[in-house]
Amino acid sequence: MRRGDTEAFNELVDRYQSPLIGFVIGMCGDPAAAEDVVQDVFLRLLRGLPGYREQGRLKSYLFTLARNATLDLLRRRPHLSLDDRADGEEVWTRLQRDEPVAGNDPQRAIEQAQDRRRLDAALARLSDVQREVILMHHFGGLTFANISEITGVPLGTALARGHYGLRKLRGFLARPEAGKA
Amino acid sequence: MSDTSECPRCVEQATLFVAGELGVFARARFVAHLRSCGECAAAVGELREARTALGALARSELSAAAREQLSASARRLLAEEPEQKPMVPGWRLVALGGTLATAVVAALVLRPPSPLPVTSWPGQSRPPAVATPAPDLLAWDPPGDLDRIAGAIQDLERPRFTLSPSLSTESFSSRDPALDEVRRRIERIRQRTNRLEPESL
Repeated sequence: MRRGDTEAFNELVDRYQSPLIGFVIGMCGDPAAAEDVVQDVFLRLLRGLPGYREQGRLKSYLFTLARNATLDLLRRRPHLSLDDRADGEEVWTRLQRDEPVAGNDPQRAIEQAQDRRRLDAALARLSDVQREVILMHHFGGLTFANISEITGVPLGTALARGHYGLRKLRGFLARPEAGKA
Repeated sequence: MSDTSECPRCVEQATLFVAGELGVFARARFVAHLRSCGECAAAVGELREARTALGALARSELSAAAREQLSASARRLLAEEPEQKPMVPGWRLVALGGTLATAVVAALVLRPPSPLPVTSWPGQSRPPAVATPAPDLLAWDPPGDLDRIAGAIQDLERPRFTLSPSLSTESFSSRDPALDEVRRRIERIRQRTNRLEPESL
């Protein structure tokens, strides 16, 4: 993308906003804060474009910016917690207001919301480093080699975090109460 | 589960396998390994289950208000920055360089005969390139000049670096279409000269 190209900037936002928002919400648990972080990421990219050398790794660069901004946010606002998220409650709110829900199948919508809630709770129980690897891999489609570069750890470490994180996640989903403090 | 595994392949290979990031041969080797390693087989099953479960994670997008705010900020930022001249892409520079190099070679080969002998590298200095337009080869063919030009072409075609035995000089030199064209025209002139000057002369 060339500086001054507003259209290209909008296309870039269209392409990468969803993976970035998913990652940041997964890390901080606050959709409103995640929106701020992602806006900041895109503006940082715009400001940094003159120094950016296009190497086919724009996605990695964006995730690096998003990760740094999220870590800054969590340092500034340590009270943010994944358990505070409102995912799933939206369906109940809509039903109480007689508003339509996705697919026009309230039962299914509630089940999906409950699944998401359980998944969020399981993710929240992982360590931060395991969670960030899993979220980058899932939302960003980043390879473990990319993730090791972004997080600044050896490839073996990134793989171990992803491996044990995923297996723990599966265990938490199978036995939601297991291992809870 | 504990954060340790007995099998040395379990952590890295199983994770890369499930993520589809193993190369073809490594993947085949790991598949063969899976048949005999229960630990890796179990790990692969669990990793796949977890990845499937992650599919339930919500996909979010910026709200309309946030999107509008971002666009406004971007427009403001872009308006503040001075207009920059677009840079010439690298491939255009390479193409331009190639065209100029071909033009220089053609000018060198097609220039009129010079009192100085045509020399070649390495180890010898070359005469400066002449900027005068190249004359039509068919318009002049005094005896001796064709041989001189042919010699110059041979010198130009001589590789400037050592080629591996598998690459022949022929294949290297035949890549330049400009030289091929000159070679064809010289051949035509030679045929014409031979017709004009019988061998008995």
